[in-house]
Amino acid sequence: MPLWIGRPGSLKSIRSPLRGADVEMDLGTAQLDALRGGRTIDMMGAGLRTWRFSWPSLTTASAGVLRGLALGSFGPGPYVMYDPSQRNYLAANQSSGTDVLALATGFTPQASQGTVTSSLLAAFTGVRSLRWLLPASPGANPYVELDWPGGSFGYPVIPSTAYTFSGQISGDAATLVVRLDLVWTDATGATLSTSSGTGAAVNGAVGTFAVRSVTATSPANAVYARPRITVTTATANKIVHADTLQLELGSAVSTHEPGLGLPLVAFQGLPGTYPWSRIHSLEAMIAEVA
Amino acid sequence: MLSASADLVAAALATQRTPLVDLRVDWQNAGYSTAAAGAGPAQIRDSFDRAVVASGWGVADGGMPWTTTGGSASDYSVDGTVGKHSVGSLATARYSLIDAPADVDVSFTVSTPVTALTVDFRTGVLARYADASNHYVASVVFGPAAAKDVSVNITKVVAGATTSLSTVDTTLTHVAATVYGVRFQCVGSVLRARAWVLADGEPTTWHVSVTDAALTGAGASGVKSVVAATSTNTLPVVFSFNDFRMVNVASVQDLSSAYESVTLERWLSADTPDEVRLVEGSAAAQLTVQLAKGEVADEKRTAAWRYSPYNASSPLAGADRHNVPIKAAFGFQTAAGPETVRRFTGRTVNLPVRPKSASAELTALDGRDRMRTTVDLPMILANQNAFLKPGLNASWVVDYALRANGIYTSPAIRSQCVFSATMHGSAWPEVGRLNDQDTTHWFDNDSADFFPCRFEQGRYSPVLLGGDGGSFNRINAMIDQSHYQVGANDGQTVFFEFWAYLTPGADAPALMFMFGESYPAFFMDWVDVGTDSKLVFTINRNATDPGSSIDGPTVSGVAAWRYIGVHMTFGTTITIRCRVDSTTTTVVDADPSMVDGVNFKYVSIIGTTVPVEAYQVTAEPYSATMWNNAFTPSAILSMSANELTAIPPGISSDPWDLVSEVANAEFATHGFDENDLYLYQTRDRWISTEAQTQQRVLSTVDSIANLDIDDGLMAVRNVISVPASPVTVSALADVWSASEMYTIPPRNSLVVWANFNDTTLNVPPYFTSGLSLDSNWFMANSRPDGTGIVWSTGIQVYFEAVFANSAKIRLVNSNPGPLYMIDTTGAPALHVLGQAVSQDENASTTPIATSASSIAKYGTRPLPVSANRWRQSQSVAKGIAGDLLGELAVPRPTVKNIEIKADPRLRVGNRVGLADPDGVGPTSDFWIIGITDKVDRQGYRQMITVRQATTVLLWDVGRWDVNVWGS
Repeated sequence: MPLWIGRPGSLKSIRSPLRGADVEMDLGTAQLDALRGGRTIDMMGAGLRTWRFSWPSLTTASAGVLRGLALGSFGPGPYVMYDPSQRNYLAANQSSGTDVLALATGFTPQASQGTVTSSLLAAFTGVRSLRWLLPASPGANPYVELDWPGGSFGYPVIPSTAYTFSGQISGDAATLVVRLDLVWTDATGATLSTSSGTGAAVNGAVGTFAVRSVTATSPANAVYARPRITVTTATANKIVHADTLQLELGSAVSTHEPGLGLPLVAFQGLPGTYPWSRIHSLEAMIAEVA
Repeated sequence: MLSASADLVAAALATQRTPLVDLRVDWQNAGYSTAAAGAGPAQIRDSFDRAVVASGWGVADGGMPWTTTGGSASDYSVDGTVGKHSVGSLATARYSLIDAPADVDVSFTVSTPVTALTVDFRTGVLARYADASNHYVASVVFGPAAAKDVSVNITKVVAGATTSLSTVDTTLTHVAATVYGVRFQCVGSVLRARAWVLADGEPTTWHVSVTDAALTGAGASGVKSVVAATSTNTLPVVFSFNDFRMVNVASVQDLSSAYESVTLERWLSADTPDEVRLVEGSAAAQLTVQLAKGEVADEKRTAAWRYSPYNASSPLAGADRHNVPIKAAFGFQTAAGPETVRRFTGRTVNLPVRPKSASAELTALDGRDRMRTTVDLPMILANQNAFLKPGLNASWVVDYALRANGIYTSPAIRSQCVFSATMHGSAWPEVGRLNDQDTTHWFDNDSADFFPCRFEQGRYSPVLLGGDGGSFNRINAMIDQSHYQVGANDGQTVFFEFWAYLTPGADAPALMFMFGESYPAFFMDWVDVGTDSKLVFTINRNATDPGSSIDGPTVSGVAAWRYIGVHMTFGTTITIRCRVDSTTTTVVDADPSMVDGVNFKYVSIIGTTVPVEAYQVTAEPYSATMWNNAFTPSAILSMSANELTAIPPGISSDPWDLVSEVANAEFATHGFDENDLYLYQTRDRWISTEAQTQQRVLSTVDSIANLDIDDGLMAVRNVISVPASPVTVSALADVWSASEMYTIPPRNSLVVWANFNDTTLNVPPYFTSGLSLDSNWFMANSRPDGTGIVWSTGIQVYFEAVFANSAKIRLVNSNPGPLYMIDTTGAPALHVLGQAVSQDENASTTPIATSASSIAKYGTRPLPVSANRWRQSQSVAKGIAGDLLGELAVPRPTVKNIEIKADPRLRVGNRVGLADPDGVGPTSDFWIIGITDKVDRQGYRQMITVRQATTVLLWDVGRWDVNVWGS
């Protein structure tokens, strides 16, 4: 898989680094040592990553794309980057079903369609799941949307590429039919189309989870995708739990990996060498900024 | 310690933690947003300098799309310079909308090529727009015809119902093609709007400011335009919009993820030598924030870019950087989510940007920075030799300084106030003046009958104990000099309120009187609570009226402080509203017999055993929200036991310095707490539960990273001298006598200046003819040698002004012949009486407390405490000296700059145990006298300085005398 990087709507494809990549995840730990040996670790960072990619031989065109990105020739950064080593592009709190923050940060219910919280009452993995309490008068096909922290229109996507959104779903009434959707939008957030997975009734026992998924290829003109949990047969004041969510590239549901988020990155350096004419060796040092 | 949830405590003590700082700045000065910021940008702008759009408005700068509704698509266009609404049909609004959060600060410019002919043009800013039936709109109304006036209006539309919240006519005039600016702030329930001519610049005040909570959720923002149905203007009317700007208020207020480091310092500082390190003095907190992040979505928009006051593109462009509210809370990610504890509330003072490092540094101070209004204290004599005896202790001085700076233990002076007496340590009124009065008694709460005051927690409560010498004790005060005139059907209003400590079933007579100037223009009213626990309001309408009583609410429950308010409206009837706490009764008194033109002149608080506080009399009209029963104080004062003889003359001082000086006099502590509540705490503080009970243990095993112990002899003091600065007050006597004969020409007047030798108070207001021992006096004679007629008619002598060191006297002679101001012996006869006041800081013998055993062991180690004009009593000085000796005669360890694992609950004054199982450090209890919080890449740490906790000996409650000095 190539490396995709750039501004939403104009992601650039760079072939995979031949020698792989070095990546560091800075957790920002700070250590306090008490006089008699006790130790406390404060987690000050947000798990931001720094990559060092190496391409021993790039064409002038490919090298030009990298240099253009580094210099802002395709518009100013920071850029979205699809790290090819990553499976789950959802934010950590979303993919963990709220275990990371113990808050429903990253989940937004449709207006007037209930409230979302972090719940200890049920979990597929970890100790928490997202709890969605439907309203007394639910509308047609109410949904909860997964926000991309870097912008308001959804997750930036690679055009004409297969995506799979999956998760474990539970509910407190067997009348609830739940499916997952991917809503494809253009650069202004206007909906282009919606891809829906198969809806199925939940078991009715909170804590009994079953997988739901949707697989679809992004439209050629898609810029963003809005992952949604949608209830197609809604019942008043009933509850849906969601956990172990994943947004991945590809046409099948893979084993869940904790989400690291779809990062916004900035170039920190782009040193290179010229072994011979028109063949470029470049190293890109790229830092996650949010 | 500050309170925190069990989850937060567990997170603070855990060995792996995720620290958090919740940092908010109210740049808009409109209150803190509680709305979700959302994932969108901090601001959206649109300058409309894009390709022509024939139908619709396209996409704003930064990529956010406009949507439109109302009329037809072709009514909306962008011509490369402006966005337009072409309104070609009447009474149909055009809307251009853009997604927005709930709390926004929106502005744009607008112009029309024509003015309105018969009815208004309306254009406006939208907020929280769900649909045409649910939104707020701040409109600019361009008036028609010759006036072409411009008004600003805020309207809510809820479920299709339109309600105008407020409209204000501006001084602007609508001119065709002139560009106007419009701004609408919508933060929580605060809605504010203004308009201006763009060329004249944006004003700083709002035309309309209202509160409304009908719509709270996020919705679209944008602009609207409409031409009314009866307009005769030629259609279409084109509205041209430009410079649209929408700031996401929640986003710009929240700096919780924008900092590189946050440092909060709060330390006690005092006059005593640093090595002594007593637990006393003032604490002012300072917050310093290194800002390193600007816009997440644009790497070129750094912190320096964002916070620079010179950057017109910043989301903060035009916002105040200085003196805006800021608050900081520290905490952790807990099992229940992020939880924090408020540790700072203040205002910004500086925000320089550092272009080189692309950063900015924000500095803020706590409420101490609000205390900037110079305080001019009135000269007050307490009781000693005083004509008026209002009583006086130091907390009254503190309270007065705070009130002058907008910080209140009890309600502020109300509008149209004619009388106000807080009773917080003195009965001296802040509005109005004492007329005559018996001694104010202060109920001693150190007795078994202790109960807390309503507003000033402490040892004493103001109370007028009845039956002194068989007569009422009373405070008579004159209301404001203009008097207050009421009468039948004149529409005037009278309102008074106060708090009283009431026991249901116990008689509380005559809590407050008001009465008119003189017979027959007579009107009197008073309020009391009878044994049936009912508030009773009684009025005498005229000189012969036996009076009628009106029942108000019933006082129920247990003995407690109660809010009492009475409001009267004088129409053809008298509408009387009585209030006890939150219950109001309304009675209309229809008796028409009252006399017109009563000058309310006196307020009288007459002898009762009921403690009373916070009296006010005002002339304000009735409002359902006028009652103060739910008042929340912004200051809490321990009532000082530092009894004062007088306020020294001529004090005009910086308020913080003044209060610090008062605190130093009695070794009190003062300052603002974490929530902006001002606290003045006497030595009583150190016998409080918080100071006497160990709050938590800090151990070298898991909490303490370093110890720097200092318990040397430098901290020992065994010869303590505390000077008093007594105030001498003379009895009422001559303070000035004419040294020459003054001659008043016939039908003429003369001005005489009397210069006093000493500062003088309580000069009687009137002159009498003939020798007097309790009033100023004069003698006038028809002959210059005193052998003529002693003249007392046709002559007036009165003060035009009285100052502390002089008085201006006018002598008026209405007679056809001259008058000579001499007595019958030919001696000059014009006398001014008063009470001379002086304070000599070196006049007293300085009380010295010594410890023979300490001197024998450690040698003589003196501590000369500085003189203080607020330490006026020898007994107070003596008590303080003894207390200090008890604390300082033996070495006590002071541990400076202990680095500890941070616990956001810890605060200055906490008693904490230090524990070191290896025995190298002390294992004992200490008081925290300074604390610094710091959060950065090195984690969340605190530095504290502590002093060993001792058995507190309180100089102000008499025990010291018995235990140490001997009875």
